[in-house]
Amino acid sequence: MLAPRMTTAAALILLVFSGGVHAQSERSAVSFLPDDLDLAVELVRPGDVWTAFRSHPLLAAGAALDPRFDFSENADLRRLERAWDLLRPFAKGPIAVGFRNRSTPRLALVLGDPEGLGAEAFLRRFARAIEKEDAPTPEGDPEDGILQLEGVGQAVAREGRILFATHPPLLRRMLRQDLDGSFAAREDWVELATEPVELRALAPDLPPLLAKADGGDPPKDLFGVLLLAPFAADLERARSARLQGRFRSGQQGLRLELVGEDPAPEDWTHSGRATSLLPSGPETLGRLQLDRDLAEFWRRRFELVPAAGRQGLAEFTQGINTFFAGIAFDEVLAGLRPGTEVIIERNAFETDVEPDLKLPAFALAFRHEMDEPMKDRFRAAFQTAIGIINADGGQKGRQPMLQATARVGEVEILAARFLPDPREGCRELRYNATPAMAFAGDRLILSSSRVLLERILRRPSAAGPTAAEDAAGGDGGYVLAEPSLELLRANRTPLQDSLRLERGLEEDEAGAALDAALAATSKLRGFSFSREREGRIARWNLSFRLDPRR
Amino acid sequence: MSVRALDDRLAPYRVGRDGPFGLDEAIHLARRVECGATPARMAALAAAGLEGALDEVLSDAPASPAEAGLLAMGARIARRGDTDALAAAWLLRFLGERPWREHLALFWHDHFATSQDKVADLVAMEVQNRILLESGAGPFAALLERVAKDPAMLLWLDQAASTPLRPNENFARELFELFTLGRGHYAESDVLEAARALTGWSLRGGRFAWRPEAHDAGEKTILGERGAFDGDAVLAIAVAAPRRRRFIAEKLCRWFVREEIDEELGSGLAALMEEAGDVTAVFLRRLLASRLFFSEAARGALVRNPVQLAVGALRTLDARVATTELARRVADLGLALFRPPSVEGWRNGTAWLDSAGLVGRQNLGVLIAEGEDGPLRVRSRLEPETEGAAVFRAFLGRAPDEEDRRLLVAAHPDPRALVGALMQEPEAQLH
Repeated sequence: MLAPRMTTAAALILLVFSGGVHAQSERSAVSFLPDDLDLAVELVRPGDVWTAFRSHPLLAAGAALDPRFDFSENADLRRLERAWDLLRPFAKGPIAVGFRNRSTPRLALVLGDPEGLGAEAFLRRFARAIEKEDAPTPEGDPEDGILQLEGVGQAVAREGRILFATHPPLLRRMLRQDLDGSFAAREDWVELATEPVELRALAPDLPPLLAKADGGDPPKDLFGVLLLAPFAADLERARSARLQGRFRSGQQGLRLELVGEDPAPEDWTHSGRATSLLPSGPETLGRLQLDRDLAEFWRRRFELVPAAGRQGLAEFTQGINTFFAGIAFDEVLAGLRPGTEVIIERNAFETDVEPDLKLPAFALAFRHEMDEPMKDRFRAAFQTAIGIINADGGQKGRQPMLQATARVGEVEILAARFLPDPREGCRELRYNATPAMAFAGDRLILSSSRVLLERILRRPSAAGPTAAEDAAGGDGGYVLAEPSLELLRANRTPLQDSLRLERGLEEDEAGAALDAALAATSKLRGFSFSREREGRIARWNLSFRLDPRR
Repeated sequence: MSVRALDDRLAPYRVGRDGPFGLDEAIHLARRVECGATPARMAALAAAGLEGALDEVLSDAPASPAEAGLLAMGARIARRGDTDALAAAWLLRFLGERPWREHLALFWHDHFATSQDKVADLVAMEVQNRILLESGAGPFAALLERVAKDPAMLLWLDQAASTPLRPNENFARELFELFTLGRGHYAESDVLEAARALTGWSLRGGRFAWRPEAHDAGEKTILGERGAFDGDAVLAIAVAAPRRRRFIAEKLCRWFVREEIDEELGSGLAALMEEAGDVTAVFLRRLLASRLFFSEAARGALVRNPVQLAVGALRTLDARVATTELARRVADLGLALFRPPSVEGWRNGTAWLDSAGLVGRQNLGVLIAEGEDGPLRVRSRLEPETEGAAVFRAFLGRAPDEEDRRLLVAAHPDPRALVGALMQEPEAQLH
C-alpha cells in the first residue's frame, strides 16, 4: 500500500511547488515584491481598469475631436494597446508593478499565468511590447528556471505567476521574500489592501520617486500660482503617497493621499470649511471653490510667483492699483475673508438675437468685511474698469458699454451692457457679457452677467440639485455633463468652424466628429474634484459619474 | 491703335503657329492663375485646349453653396474678432473651388493694402475681403468705388476723420500714388485739392455716410480739371486719368506674367486694358492668352509669395489641411493676411527670398511632408494611382530628369513627402 501513499504525497508536493490556482489565490501579487521599493502598484482587476480607461467617455470624446486621443491615430496609444494585447494572457488576476528610482531605475512585474505559458513566452511578448524586436532568444539556467533576455530582463514562472525584473538582483530578492520581507507586509500596505478597490498604489518614500519626474513647468503667472501652487506645495512636502482607484460602472474615481512630515504652512491656503457663497440652481453647469486667503497671498505674491513671472506681476500690481486710485490693493484685499467661489451657469440673452458664440456666464464671490467707504471704493473701481474697457474697445471697433443700476430686494446691483451694434450683419454680434457687481450682506459678488447675479441673489442659500456638493469645504469643484452638453449643442456651428480650420476637416467630417463627441460625452453625468488638508495629510479626489444606462 | 500694333508680344497666342498647347502650357497656366492644381486637373486643362482651359481656370460660375458656407463662416469669425481664424478661413477658400477669384482678391489685398492692426475692426476687414472677392474681376471703377467707401478703408487712411477745416490727405495721396496712377503722375496740389473734395465722406453706424455739412463744396483743380468736385468726382477723375490703365495693367502683368516691363510693353498693356473695357477678368483673359504669357521668358519667372507657395503645394496634393496653422506659418514667412506691413502692401519678387525666408519655406515643405502627423495635418486626396512623376511635373512645372529619379524613389508612395522634398529646391520658389 506504500506505493499509492507515495503517489499521493508526490502529487501533493508537486501541487505545492508548481503553484496553481490555490497558491495564486492565497498569495497576493504584491507579496512577491521586496519591501524597499519606491513604488508598488496593484491592479486588482486589470481588465476592468483597462476597459474603464479604453472606453472612458472623455477619451472617446477627445478621440472624436482630436487625433492625439485616438488609438488608431496616436502612435503612443497604439503602442500601449499593442503592449496590453501582447501581455493580456499574463494579465488575468492581479498585476503588481514595483519600481525603484535610484541611480539605475529598476522595474519589477508580477503577473498571472493561468494558461501556463511560461517565462520564455512572457519574455518574448514583453520584448515585443517594448519594441525590442531584435532581442535574442531567452537563455536560462535549467536548474532554477530563470530565463534572461539581454537588454530586457529576467523572468521566472513561480506559483502560477510570472515574476519579472529588469535587473538580476531584484529578481533574486523577489524569489526569497521569506528572508528579505515583502512589500505586502508593510503596515501601510496592509491598511491600503483592505479597501475594495480596483487599483491601489503606495509610494512609501516619495522624494526619490519624484526626483527625476518631469512635472512640467510650474505656473509663472499670478492666477496660475493662485490656482495650482497649493497642489505643487502638497507634492513638495509629501514624504509618502497612497493612491486608490475605483472603476466600477457608474462611479469611477481616483483618490490620492499625500502624507507630509511637517504640518503644512497654512498661511495663505485657508483650511476652514466654508459655507456656500454661491448656491447652485437649475442653470448651474459647474462650480469651483478655492480655499485661499487672498490678502495673505497678495502680501506674499512676489515670493510665491517664480522669477520668470515677476515682471508681469509688477505690471499687474501697477494696473490693479490704478483701478483703486487713492488706496493700495492690499487695503482692498484686507477687507476680504478667506475663501473664493466661482459658479458657471447657462447664460441668459436679453435680446431676441443670440450671439454666434454662446459662452456661459460666471460669477465670483468672496466673503467681506468692508465698511461703506471701502465698498464705495470698490464700486468706483468697477466703474473705472468699464471706462477702460470702453476706451480700449473704441480703438478695436467694439460697441461701448452703458452703466446702469438694478435692485433685488435691498441689494443694489451695478451693471453694464454693450450697446447694440448697428452695422449690417452684426445683429448676431451680441456680446455675452453684461458685467455686474453687488454687495449682498457679507458677500461681494462679481458676475459676467447681470441676470446671473440677480438669479443668485434670489436663490435660497442652499437650493438646487447639488446643494450637498456646494457645501463641501477645501478646494473643489464639479462640472455637470447635461447642461454642458446643451451648451456644446448650442455652439455647434462655431465648433464646427473651429474643427474645419484647426484640423482641416470637411464640413460633414466636422459634423460627424462633433456628433461622436457629444454621443460619447452623453454617457458622463459629471465629474468633480477636491483637495482637502487634514494635519499632515493632503487628499486629492477626482471622480467621474457615468450613466450606467448608456 | 490696336494692341498688336503697339506690342506684338500681347497678340493672341495661336496654338500650332506660335507653339503648342500641351501639358506644359496647361501647367504654366494653372500654376499662375490657381497657384497650383492636381496632375489630373492639369491633364484635363491640356485636353480642353487653350480656350477651354481659359474658360475653366477663369470660370465665371457663381459661388457654390459650399463656398457660400465658407463666406458665412468668415463673417461669423469676423464678428468674434479672431484675425488669425479669418486668415485661416480665407486660405480654406483658396483651397476650394474658385482659386482664381481668391488669387485675384489677394492681388487686390496687396494693391489696396489695408491692415487690421490699424483698422481694428475685423467685421470691416471681412467686408472689404468680400468686396475684393466679389468685385475684383469686374470693372476697375466699380471696385475702386466700393473699396474707397468701405469702412475698413475709411478707417485705414483716416478719411472718416477728415474735415473741411483739416482735410486729411492720406486717402487722396494713396488714391493717386498707390491705387490709380503711381508716383510722378500727380502733383502735391492735386492731393490737397482731392482731400478737400473728399471731405464729407464719413462713417455712421459702421457704414459709409455722406455728410454734406462736413463737405468742402468750393471749387478745386484736380489733375487739370476744375469744378466743385466731391469724392465721387475725385474717383472718376483718377479713373479717367490716362496713366491709370497702364498703372493697373502693369501691376496685373507683374503679378500674373512677368516682372520686366519695357516702355513698349507698358503701352501695349494699357491698350489691352482699354480694349478690355477696364474689366479685370476680360483683361486678364486676354493677357493669359497672349504670346507673352506662353513665352519662355515668362515661364518659371515669378517668385512665389508665401501664399502662392503654400496654396500651390497643397492644391497640387488636393489637400485638406489645418488652415489655422497654415495661416500662422505663412504669416511667419512674411505674408500675414489682413495685416500687410504698410499701405504699399508686401515687397514682392526676390524680396521674399532672403536667407530667413528660404529656410522658412523649406521648413514649410518639411511640415507638408509630415502629413497628418505634423501640425498642418495634411491629408492628400490624390488618387492612389497618381504617379510621382506627374506630381513632380505639376508642382515644379517640368518633367523629372534622371537626377530627380532618386528623389521620386525616396518619396514614393507618399505625394506629400514628394512635394515637401521638392519645396527644398530653389526652383520650387518660382512659378
